[in-house]
Amino acid sequence: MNRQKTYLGEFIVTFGIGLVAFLQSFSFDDPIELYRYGANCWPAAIAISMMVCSLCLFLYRRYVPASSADTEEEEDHIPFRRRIPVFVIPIIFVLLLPYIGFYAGILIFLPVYAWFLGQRNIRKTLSVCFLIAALIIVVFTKYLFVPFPVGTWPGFYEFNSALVAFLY
Amino acid sequence: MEHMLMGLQYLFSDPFNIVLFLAALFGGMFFGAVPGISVTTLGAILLPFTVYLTPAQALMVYGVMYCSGTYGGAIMAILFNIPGAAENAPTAFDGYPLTKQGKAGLAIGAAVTCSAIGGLMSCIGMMLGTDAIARWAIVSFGPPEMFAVIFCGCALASTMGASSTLKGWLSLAFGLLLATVGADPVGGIFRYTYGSVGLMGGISFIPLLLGFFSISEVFSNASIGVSKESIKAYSNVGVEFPSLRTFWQQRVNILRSAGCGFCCGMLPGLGATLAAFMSYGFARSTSKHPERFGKGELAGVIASETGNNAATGGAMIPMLALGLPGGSTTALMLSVFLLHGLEPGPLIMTQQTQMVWAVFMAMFLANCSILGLGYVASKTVTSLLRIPTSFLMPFIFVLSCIGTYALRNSVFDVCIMLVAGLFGFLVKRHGYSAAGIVLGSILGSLGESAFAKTMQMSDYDWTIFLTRPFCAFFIGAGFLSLGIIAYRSLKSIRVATHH
Repeated sequence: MNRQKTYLGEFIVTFGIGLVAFLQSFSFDDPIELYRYGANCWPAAIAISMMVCSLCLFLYRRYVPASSADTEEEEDHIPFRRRIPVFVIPIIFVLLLPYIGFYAGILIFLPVYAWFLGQRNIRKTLSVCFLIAALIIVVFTKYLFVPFPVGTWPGFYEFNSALVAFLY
Repeated sequence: MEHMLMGLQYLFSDPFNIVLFLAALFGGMFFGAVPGISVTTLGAILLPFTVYLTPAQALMVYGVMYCSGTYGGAIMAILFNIPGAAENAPTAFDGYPLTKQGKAGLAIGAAVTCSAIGGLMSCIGMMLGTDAIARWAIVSFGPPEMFAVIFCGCALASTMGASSTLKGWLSLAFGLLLATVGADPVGGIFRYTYGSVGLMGGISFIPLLLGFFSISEVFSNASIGVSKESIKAYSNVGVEFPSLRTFWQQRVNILRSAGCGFCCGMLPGLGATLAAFMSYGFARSTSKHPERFGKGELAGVIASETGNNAATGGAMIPMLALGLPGGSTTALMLSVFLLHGLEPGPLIMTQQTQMVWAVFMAMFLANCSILGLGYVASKTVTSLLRIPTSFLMPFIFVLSCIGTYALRNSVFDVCIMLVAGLFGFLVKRHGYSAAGIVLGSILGSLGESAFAKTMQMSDYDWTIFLTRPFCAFFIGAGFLSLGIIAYRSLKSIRVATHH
């Protein structure tokens, strides 16, 4: 039953993407003087093929007994709650990047992520992460001149700017 | 010979080139050895930074990484039954049983030597073949042929890495759809941009590559973890090279696997994986003792490793001569070309002779180095594998963020990479192909552009695809491939419903 629900969910997502892409293709169907098929022909054709494939896949799974291919799908029994930080911490890091800046960001992100991934020795975690962060900052800022964001929030902006000024 | 010397002269004229060569050699071996974090991951991370290198240096790094990474994956396959990449999977069939019999050193020694032999043979083939194919392509290849080859490549690669045919096709279609975001190649009309300035320039392939290959693997490895005990248990493995007599007994197997690997490497999208499986299959079906395969037969390791390394040279031919990537690593090389404003294709052999021969010689030397440094590298790689996942994964994530951000100094690209990573994690778990999506997103814009040019030059006459011989051949081969795949799927459905 769960497997059928998953199949239905997959069908809705894949068919939905194709359908939305196809319908949206009418929003850019203006004629092009040099090209009769216009800008929408190619994406519309791909969207239709995507819908056909997802429909065939759904019907195949609905009416044909589960094959070895279906059972090959990766399944494990790690509780979802344990996995949440693995996904949430990087998302928070990326979303906060424009506000807290890169330099302060990785100094916080590296030890926090390492701790959530099972590194429990705080002194070791902090020292190794500080070394990695220092290496990254020096190599990419000092030698490769990558202009990382310095943030906008008070405190973070001053810290990041001071670090950049120190490096130059 | 003159071209070979020119390539060697370029390599050894600057000490920085030698440093890059050695770094790529060891980097490829290490990343190839770590399961999940393949040499493609390293290539994707390094891609944005290649703008600081000359095109020849950048391509040399990728060529060397490609050769050493293909070999590196064998170590984990033999020691832990965890193939570093799909092309090393057949190596694990017999390599791991050999480890359990206490013959891990012999299996690694055979893998080192056969990787080098396969790689060297394919390098020679590449040096002799690329120029001829490129010269032929200059006069014979136009937009219709380019579209036909892309179609054929997509048809052949459509099921790569997916758990079923339809999932492979869906993945490829999704990748092709992603490639349509931004301005269209003929009229410059914006598509699927929703008023977002970030999307108007299209979705760059770098955030997609890093997201689908690197970030998704960070998420998988971080959520599953790696058994430290198993790594410690094998960290002191030695390397034992097989005797000359063993190699003489396996000469037919080696030559056949090298030929098979080289030919498979030339097929866009399949390359080393198909080569390794086919070589292994040939070795088993022609063996006097097929029952020994899968239980620790050295011939299985020899066939698989010769085959997958022989594919590296073959895969370079369509990439250089036609601008078509044979797999994910050659797709990254294509990205290097695009980043440096170069157009791979038939003219590359005449316009960038020194650069191309520097890459050829670097790959040749990389394969020689695998033989020489295989012993040291195997010891080093197994030691480096002791780096805990809890430190390795955050480091790779930050490096990927930097790589994406540095491309256009855009946090929007980092967000796209993260979304691609999360999406990649989900699609892989459900049996879809991340490689298919990335291949579709890279070939999509090239294919659309070639199709539009073909239609314009033929005055919208579709029979042009059938009247030009090479075009008709590739279109026919593409449809034949799709037909065979569809037939096999239907046959399996019939068998499943019958039972």
